[in-house]
Amino acid sequence: MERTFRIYRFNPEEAKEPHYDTFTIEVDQTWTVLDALNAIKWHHDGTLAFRRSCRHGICGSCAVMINGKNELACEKLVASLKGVITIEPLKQFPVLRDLMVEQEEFFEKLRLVKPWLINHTSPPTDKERLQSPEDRRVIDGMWECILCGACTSACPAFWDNDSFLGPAALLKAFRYVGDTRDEGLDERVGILDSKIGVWRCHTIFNCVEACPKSLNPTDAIVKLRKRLVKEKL
Amino acid sequence: MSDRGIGSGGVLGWFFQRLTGIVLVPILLIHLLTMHRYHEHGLAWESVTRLMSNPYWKVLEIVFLTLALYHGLNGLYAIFQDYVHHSGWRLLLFSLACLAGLTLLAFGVVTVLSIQAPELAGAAGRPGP
Repeated sequence: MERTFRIYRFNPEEAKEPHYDTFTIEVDQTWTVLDALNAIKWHHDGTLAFRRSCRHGICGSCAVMINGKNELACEKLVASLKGVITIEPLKQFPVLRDLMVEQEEFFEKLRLVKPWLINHTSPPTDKERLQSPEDRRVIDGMWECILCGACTSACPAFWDNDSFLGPAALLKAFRYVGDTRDEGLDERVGILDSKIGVWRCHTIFNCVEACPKSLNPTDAIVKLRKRLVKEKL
Repeated sequence: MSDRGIGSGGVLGWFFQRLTGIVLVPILLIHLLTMHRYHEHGLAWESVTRLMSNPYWKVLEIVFLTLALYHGLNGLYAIFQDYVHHSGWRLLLFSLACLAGLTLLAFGVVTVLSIQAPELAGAAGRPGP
């Protein structure tokens, strides 16, 4: 079957403004949007720039906006979309070229919340740091984030204030703050309780809708707030 | 990344916003039902001032006024924090919000305290407010 793709194009070295190119190509019933992007790049326009890596919804590289909704191109079936398929880069991130966005600041914010286990006591020599199944379940839905940036890009609080840490970094923060083996809340409280931290979220839930892994960053942010209130009051 | 907005946090502001929000619900209902609805001979200046001349109602109205002003202006300040990125402008707007809150509170408290029942105001030889 033939499908038409309308793709955002921008090369800052050649043009001041972006434009859209339209490609009508033959696609298979089983193709994902990433398959279509590959076909366009390989057979129609080799200058089309986009990120991709694993092709299995794990690396998060191919997150783009498809028909106005943030999706992983490698997971979205072309057959599930109607009419002309518009593909654009993630909103609010600076565009490097075509569908590729600048992610340095996104990962810098992630580093600010110290996304690693902080524990000041020596580990046992004869076993691992054990955790009960109940305690382990607290961070279910928090550790599965693939850092694609779809949630942060969809966040209206981030659109107006790009200093806001964003849902992805805060979800990752709770993955460690909520971990019973972690002792790093004191080190993270400064950034979480800052004016770019958890208080900038207004529970709009766009991040929940945008997450291709069906995670709930809003829930993580609310839990972080409760921990901060408990810690400080 | 710019460092705009990094500074003191909002635990107290967030906590008291929720707390005042919860407390305001019953107080607002009491205020609306007593001041604007249930009066023996219909809503009238005399019946409202008679009710407001009661010291307990005065206390309730002052609490209502204080909490409502805090809740409203704190919400406004949260909007400033979202949309005003220059720290100087934010400080100015915060100061103006505080000034507006204190001024409105002073006017409100004076008004509530000066309300007297019509018969008392008449006995004192002056009209009620």
